[in-house]
Amino acid sequence: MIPRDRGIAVSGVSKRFGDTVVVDDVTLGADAGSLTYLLGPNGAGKTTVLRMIAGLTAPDAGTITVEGRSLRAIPQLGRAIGFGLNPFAHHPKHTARRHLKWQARLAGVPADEADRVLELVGLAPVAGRLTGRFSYGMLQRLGIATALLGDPRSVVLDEPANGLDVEGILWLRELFATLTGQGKTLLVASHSLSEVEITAHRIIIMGKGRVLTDASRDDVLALGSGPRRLESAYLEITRTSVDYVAGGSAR
Amino acid sequence: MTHRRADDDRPADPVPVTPSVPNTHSVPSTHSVPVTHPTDPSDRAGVATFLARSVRAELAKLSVRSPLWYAVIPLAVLIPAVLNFGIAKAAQLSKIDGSGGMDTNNAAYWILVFSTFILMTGAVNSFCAEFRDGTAEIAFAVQPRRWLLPVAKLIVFGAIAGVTAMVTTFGIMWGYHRLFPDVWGRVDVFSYDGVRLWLGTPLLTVLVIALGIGLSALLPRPGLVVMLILLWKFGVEKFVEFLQGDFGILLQRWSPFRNAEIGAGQMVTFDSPFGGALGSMLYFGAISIGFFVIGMIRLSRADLRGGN
Repeated sequence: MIPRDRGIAVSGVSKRFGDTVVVDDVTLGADAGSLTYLLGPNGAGKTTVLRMIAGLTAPDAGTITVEGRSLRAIPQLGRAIGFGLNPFAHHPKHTARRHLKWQARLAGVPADEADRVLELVGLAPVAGRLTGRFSYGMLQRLGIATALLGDPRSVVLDEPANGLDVEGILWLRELFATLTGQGKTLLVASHSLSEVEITAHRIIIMGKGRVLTDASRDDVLALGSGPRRLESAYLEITRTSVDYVAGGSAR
Repeated sequence: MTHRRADDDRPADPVPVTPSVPNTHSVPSTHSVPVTHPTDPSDRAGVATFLARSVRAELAKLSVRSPLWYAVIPLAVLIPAVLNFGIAKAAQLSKIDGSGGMDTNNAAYWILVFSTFILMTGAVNSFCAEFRDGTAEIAFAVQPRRWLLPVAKLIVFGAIAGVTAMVTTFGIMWGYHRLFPDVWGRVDVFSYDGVRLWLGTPLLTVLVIALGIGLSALLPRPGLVVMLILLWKFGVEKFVEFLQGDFGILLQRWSPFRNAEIGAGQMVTFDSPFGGALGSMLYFGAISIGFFVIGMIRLSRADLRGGN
């Protein structure tokens, strides 16, 4: 049973698109002051879960609470949770600063918040550049800036390390440490197992729309072996699921 | 720890209560940071506050690079101005001496044909771009009341388009009366017909924009929305003019855009079936706002599936 006052709590949530069950009775959560990673192969349902937390996709069943309150009870969700779900979501003819000022106004936070988060993600020197000319890595940073705007208590990110160079990944690692140190709730979907192995507090592995594993990092690592313990544990966990599904009794 | 197979229907094991913190970070343990429930000031804000924020956010997007400034508004002003200029110049050169010249209640013809729909296209394109660029999802994650986006869009683009339509109508009626007295001499911008036209044209423009945004919320493809509206206005409503008998006349009398023109004060060839200009404008307004509300409802309930 997940306590109701976790930073983010997803309980018994299901979602189907047409005949396809994308998320099946998923229960998971993320605590304040911890970094929870959501792992799983493509199509596992990670992004759909994150989008349901963001209110972009409505669950068919189950409940989602943020700090113990249902999503509907939070008038301005963006003040409680910052979302960075799609780095390509931007107005290409806007500068980075204008892109963030637009969101600041929408969220009702001071416009100079845009400059603060641009500084935080290392984009201050290119604040006046059109986002349409940004590289993938810069767009990732802009997406993270979007999530951090207004200093929300929880942050949800979808594959934020994609496209980042080595410096970017090291920066992201430090950022996560800072945010969790501030007591924020971090829920991050990722495929970057090496980063997860280093930084995670908790690891949730999904497969075929269900939660396969939800445990502390050390408990997950204990399932693995060799130099890449998380990779070996991950493959073992997801292979079990995939093998079974391929065996003919799958949904 | 839970380690479950996909077919496992058993309840999940309890989540371990001992947090595990990696050595690389000196972060506090999960349970040393209590989850608090701070009262967010925005929780107490009313709908009017959220709407004001949405409108301010819309205004923040209107940079100098917006096509609204360098394409939409210039075209909406220039096309009727140039057409009226060319026609008036030709009429003046042929020395018609005002016979067959412009009447006040026909002075907004080219504005209603071009400007209204150009301004509507700008609003539709801006609204659909929110979905094409994925920024609607950012907006909806920040502000879950999705209806605020189309309403804010209507307020901002409606105000800009309304002012543009009013200034263009007034400017053409006032200016061409002086530039071409032989042709536009009968046009009186301050007559009853004149005032009705430069007040009615912006109202019609705002309603056409509401229709466009409403349709865009149903079909977020700007080309398709604009095509449907133009096809209706210049195809279907024109086609019914050629239908013989009472049925054709009945369809004409119920044509939404024809009634909108009556409402705006533009000369048309039949009387309002709704008791006058106000009734015709209300008829068109009901259709436009109806589509707008349907679009808002659909937008509020739709699943946004994303692209990544």
